[in-house]
Amino acid sequence: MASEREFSAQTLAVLAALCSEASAWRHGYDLARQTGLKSGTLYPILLRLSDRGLVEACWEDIQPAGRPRRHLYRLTSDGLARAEAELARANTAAASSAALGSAARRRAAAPGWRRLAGEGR
Amino acid sequence: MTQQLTRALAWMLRRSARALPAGRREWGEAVWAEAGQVPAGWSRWCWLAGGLRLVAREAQVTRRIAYGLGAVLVAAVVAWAAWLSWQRALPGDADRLVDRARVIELAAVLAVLPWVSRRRGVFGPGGSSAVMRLLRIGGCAALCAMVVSVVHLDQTAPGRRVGDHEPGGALGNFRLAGEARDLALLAVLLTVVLVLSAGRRTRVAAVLVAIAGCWVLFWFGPFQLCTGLYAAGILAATSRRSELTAVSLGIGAAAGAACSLLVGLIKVAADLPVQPGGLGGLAIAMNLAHLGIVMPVLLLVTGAVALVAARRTPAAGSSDDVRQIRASGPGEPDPVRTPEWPRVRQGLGAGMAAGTIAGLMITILVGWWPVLFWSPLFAVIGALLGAVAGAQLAPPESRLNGSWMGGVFAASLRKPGHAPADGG
Repeated sequence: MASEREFSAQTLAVLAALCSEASAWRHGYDLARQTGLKSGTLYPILLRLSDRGLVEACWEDIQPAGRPRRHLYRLTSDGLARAEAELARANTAAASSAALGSAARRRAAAPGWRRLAGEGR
Repeated sequence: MTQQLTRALAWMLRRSARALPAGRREWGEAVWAEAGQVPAGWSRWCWLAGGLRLVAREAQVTRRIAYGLGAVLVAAVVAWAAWLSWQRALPGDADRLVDRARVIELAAVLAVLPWVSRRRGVFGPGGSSAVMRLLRIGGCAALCAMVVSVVHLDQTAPGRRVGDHEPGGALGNFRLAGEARDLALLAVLLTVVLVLSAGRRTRVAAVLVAIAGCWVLFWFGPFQLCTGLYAAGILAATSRRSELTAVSLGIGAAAGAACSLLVGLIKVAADLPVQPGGLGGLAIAMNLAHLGIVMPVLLLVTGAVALVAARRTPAAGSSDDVRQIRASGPGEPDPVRTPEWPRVRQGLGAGMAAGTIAGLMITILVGWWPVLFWSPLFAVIGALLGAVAGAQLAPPESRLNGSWMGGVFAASLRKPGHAPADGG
């Protein structure tokens, strides 16, 4: 089921950026600067999130002078709940993998015989 | 120069965004609208190029280009086949006229198939897996190659070369009206089956109509029927609604290709010629000799493939059943939830796929075109025997037990105190 699939790191970055100002409408270049993503990566992510109903999009109401109207994005209520859950899960996973990584590094640093003898346990 | 390039990219983005479907167009325009905010130079170029990438992705440009190239390739093959059948043809040459009809029929089938495969039904839309796409494309290519091969055989067979036949003779069995009638019958049969199969209650009627129609058509235009059936089989097996798994189809196709190579090797080793046409004593003897080689190989290969496919299929039918069984553990096999039919079905499908691919490939590589008619028959027999044997031989829930036990084993490794790397 696609909607249950875990999000990619880039998608999580976009969700985190949108979460940081959940009620505000954000435009694409603003999000690109915050996440460091290029337009070819950012917009497909926004598009998929919009398809899933996690992000809502609209055009600026008034026509600004000297530039075209911009497309704006914001998390929906479902999107906000899902984003918070996914970000929390990602943080937990990152913390546990960091702990596992440090344990593995300690084991790798130990001499072979010690590992065989089970010192790293 | 920098400004010109930026302007050109922006123009391209805006123009190409208009080509997107209505719901997607605004996304391309959104990238364009924000380009002015991005610092001029390299950053803005990258921004606009990203927009073009978005448009290309959403407009499925790559797929369209691939399909376009495929269509051009098919058109080229059909044109080549037509040229082969037309070249230096003398009036009254029945073989060449029949070849023309075959080429026209191939062109008609290949023109109709993409349309049919896009409809929701038995033949389409196509399955999303790479194996299914590959088989669909490869199957159409093999059909093209098969018709070209048959036409080429007619051109070069002894006694049929240009100048060998008697010019000014009768048209033989060829009748343009008859060829057109066969094609029309095929189209009507396809339409009736499609219409009937659209309603669930009349699916049995569709199958009965298809069988009766095939029986009638076989006496009028066996080659037309054969080409149509092969195409329909390839589409139905690789459609999204197909019950066959990509693995079963993949195993079947690989075995079919291997089978054709084996027959080719036997032909080369035994130094057998391509059989002559007609109903003379030599032709019949050679047909029987070829049949004696092809039949056991096909029976063996399709049976083995069906057995393997049936054995590796979980006894439970749907993935939901599999999930339920996995969730509840192995336990006692439930006769309702674990019928043998899914195994037989997968085995039969894999065996038929092997027989279909073998029939096409043997015709293309070896030139024994009667195999086209015989291979489905042998494949049904071999696959049925293999599938039933595989379903019977497979221990109940063997695969599920394996997966479930594998999961338990993997989970046990994660428990503290059970880590083997550190356990010593």
